[in-house]
Amino acid sequence: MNVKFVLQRIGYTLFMFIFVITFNFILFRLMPGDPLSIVAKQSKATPEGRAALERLYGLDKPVTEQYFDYVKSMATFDFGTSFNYKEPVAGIIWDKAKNSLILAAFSVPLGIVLGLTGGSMAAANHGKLKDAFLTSTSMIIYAVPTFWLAMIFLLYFGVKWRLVPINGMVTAGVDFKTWGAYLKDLAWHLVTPAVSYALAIFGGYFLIMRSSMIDVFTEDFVLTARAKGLTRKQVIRRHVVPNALLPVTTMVVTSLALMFTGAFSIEVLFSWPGMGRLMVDSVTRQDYPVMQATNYLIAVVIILTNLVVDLLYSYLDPRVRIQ
Amino acid sequence: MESMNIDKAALEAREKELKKMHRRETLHLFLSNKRALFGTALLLLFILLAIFGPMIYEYEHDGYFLGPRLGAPVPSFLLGFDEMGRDVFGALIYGARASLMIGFFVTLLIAVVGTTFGIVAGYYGGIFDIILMRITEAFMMIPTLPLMLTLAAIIGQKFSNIILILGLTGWTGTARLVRSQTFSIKERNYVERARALGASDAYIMRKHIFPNVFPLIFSNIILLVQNAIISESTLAFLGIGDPSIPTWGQLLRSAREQGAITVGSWWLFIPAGLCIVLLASSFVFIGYGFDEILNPRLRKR
Amino acid sequence: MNHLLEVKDLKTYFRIKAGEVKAVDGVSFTISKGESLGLVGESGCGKTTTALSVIKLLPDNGYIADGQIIFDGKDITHAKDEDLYDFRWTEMSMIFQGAMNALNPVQKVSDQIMEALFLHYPHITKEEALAKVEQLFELVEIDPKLMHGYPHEFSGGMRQRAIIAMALSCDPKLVIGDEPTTALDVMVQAQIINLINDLRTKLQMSLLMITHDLSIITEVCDRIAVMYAGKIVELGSTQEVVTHFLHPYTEKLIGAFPNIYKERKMVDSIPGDPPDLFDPPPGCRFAPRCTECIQGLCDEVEPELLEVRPAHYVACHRRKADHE
Repeated sequence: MNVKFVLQRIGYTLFMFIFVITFNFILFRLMPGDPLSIVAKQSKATPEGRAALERLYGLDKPVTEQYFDYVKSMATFDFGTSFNYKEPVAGIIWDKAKNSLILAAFSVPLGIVLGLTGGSMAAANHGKLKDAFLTSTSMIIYAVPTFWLAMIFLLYFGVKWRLVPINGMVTAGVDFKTWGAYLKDLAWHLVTPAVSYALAIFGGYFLIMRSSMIDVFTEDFVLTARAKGLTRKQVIRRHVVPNALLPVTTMVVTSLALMFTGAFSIEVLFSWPGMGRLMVDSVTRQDYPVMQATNYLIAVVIILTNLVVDLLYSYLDPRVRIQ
Repeated sequence: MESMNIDKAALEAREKELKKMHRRETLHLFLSNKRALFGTALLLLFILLAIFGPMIYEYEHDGYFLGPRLGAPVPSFLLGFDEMGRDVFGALIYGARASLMIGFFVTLLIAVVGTTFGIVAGYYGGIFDIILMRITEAFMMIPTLPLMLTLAAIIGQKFSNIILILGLTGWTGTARLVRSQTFSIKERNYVERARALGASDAYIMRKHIFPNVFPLIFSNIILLVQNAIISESTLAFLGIGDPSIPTWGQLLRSAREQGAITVGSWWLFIPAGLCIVLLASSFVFIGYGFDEILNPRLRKR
Repeated sequence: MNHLLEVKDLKTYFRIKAGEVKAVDGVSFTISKGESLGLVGESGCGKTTTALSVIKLLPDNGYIADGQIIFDGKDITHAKDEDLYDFRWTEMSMIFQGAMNALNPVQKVSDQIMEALFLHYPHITKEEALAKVEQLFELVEIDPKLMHGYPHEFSGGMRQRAIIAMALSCDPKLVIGDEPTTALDVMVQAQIINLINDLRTKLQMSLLMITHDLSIITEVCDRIAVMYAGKIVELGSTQEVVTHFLHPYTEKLIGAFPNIYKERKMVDSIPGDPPDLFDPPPGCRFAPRCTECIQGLCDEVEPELLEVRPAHYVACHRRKADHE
């Protein structure tokens, strides 16, 4: 891999960082209904109190100075104290991000693997009944709101048949004696949200893998491979799938980024104490420091994964490597 | 020069003939694509429901309600009542109108912003393109759902604001797609010819680039409608929405908040979700159907 | 009977929604050991379909409706995929268009050639396979040092040479070339043609060459078959066909393609379009575009492919009348 390419990508990443920070700065300070008025309203501030708040947030300083202070605090992950939890924002986020990661670690890979295998199976049987069935089903799943599917799972598996718990990460009020007992309880709570989330991302992967593979099937090198005497299976495994996966890579890594951001509606529905729920709560409770820290951190994760995608792509696709 | 003029008339006639043939072929492909056909039928059904439903079926969203709170279905109210004693069936019918409006206006907004950005960037190229594309990419880095939530907290949750939020957060993909198509179209002969004849850039973009880009992004645009409908219902479910206009997503949110799942009040969430799925999948079927129709590489061989 | 390949009255049709397209409609020819036959015609005339029928790689909706393909004494007309894995590449291989994506873009060229070797010679070691690839690269005159490169690192001409090397890797009895020089620039085209000619004499290779460019066939092939709208309209030795062309279509075709080695003639393109193969017209398929059409005969009765001069066949009412 050449150094110039890597440096160029890193420069690009820095540019994206600056953009995101600036965007957040503008979004939170210059738009009508600025955070100060939210805070002031919440604390029923008097004009003097408002002035004190202004000083606290540095709003009495010139905008350029405010901006540089803002960049500095973002770069050092200093996000202040949550209005709602009265605790440092960074600590809260770390806690919630771990929980989101647990949920995602089981559901995202499951959804991706199911989607990619299903999509390639449909493409390998392009135009046959199997393809028609798989594809129509996936299209419907693609159009299902995640949380609605989860609501139906809850109604049947949770409420009617009592097979799974209906909310939370672990059974409330239980003091777990051993790690094993804790993990067992966690796994039991994890099944429904994880399966729902996996199905939510399944459809997109299915459809992109299917059309990517159908596209590759029309390439001449597939005909070459068949002419060489490879069986249909060998042609698909050695030539079609590796090429079809290239455009999918970006999508895979981007959803790995989403593992940290949390599955918003699923976390809300299952009262799963993750990032998604934290964000939604921060918006409804106007917890401004949490809101902007989560916005910023999620963008950071996306930017960094994009850097990884670019570097990875240049490794996987020899055509990119040269440029 | 003279012979060229004669040829030109003949060529134009032939071009027209070819276009007609092409249109007929597209129609034939559409009629033989079961999924696209099914999706269209489903969509028409919802459009009819949205237009005529509220004329035939009486329902008041903010008035005086007589029904039992969270009451179960009875023959005259097929889908029971919500937490305020409102008729769920009526809310569903009105919800069709809201969802279709969201889908239409959000997509219109995205199409206008995305296409303008894409065509201008692709047509002028160079530094102009680099700047516009960096802006687009930068917007792609900002996570959509958190941005929507933040924007809603800032500008408020009126129905029109929801449309604005969904539209302004969703245009980047379309802009990139339009740009890459514009790149290939601007190299074609008729664009060169128009430029040689002294047509202005704005004219060329409007009359030559746009009509040729549009069919290529058509299926993408259709899929945007589906995305808008699902995003709206997700936002509503998370508590972001205009309470004065009933949407299917809001029915689902209030069902959750009222504990409809734990008491098994299926009528509060199963029908509303089913409506979202049916309407959204009609667009998926049409969108992917047109992808197969307009992109010969995806057709069955 | 020492025909390596014998194609008898081949009919290959494609199923489409509205019915059937008769892409190849009664084609017969033979190729003897060491001989090369050129199949020439406009795009869409069925020449590639003929080639794909012979190597049994038709698309899913294409099928052989009638006729016979006999290769090396064996009837392979209706052979199934499973029976063909060992046959492919060792008995018959194909040179695809190198300018297009005939090589897998994410695999090293050496790996792609070795894949065929490992497939057909299961006991070969990696060293032996590498040595064979090196030898093949030398044969097609590319520096063997480059063999571990990726296709995009090769120039168009080098890619075409690599594809030829790949086609020869398992010493096939018959090689089919599908437009092997299309989309290359003229100088490189000439080099590839020279290479194919060299290899033909060196390896005693039998060749079926598919092209729309008559000048290539005159350089490479012993015999020419001219195809029009799914049928062979003229067949004979290259010398004979080029100097004594009989069919009005061949005449136009020779006029349409200037020979790169000779003085350029005016390109005399053929007015009109080839017929719709979904619903071909009765009689001679060239009749609507033919300047010498005999009304009431050519547009009604289909002409047979007849030996008009020694070993020179043509399907034309007018020429048949001329020679009787």
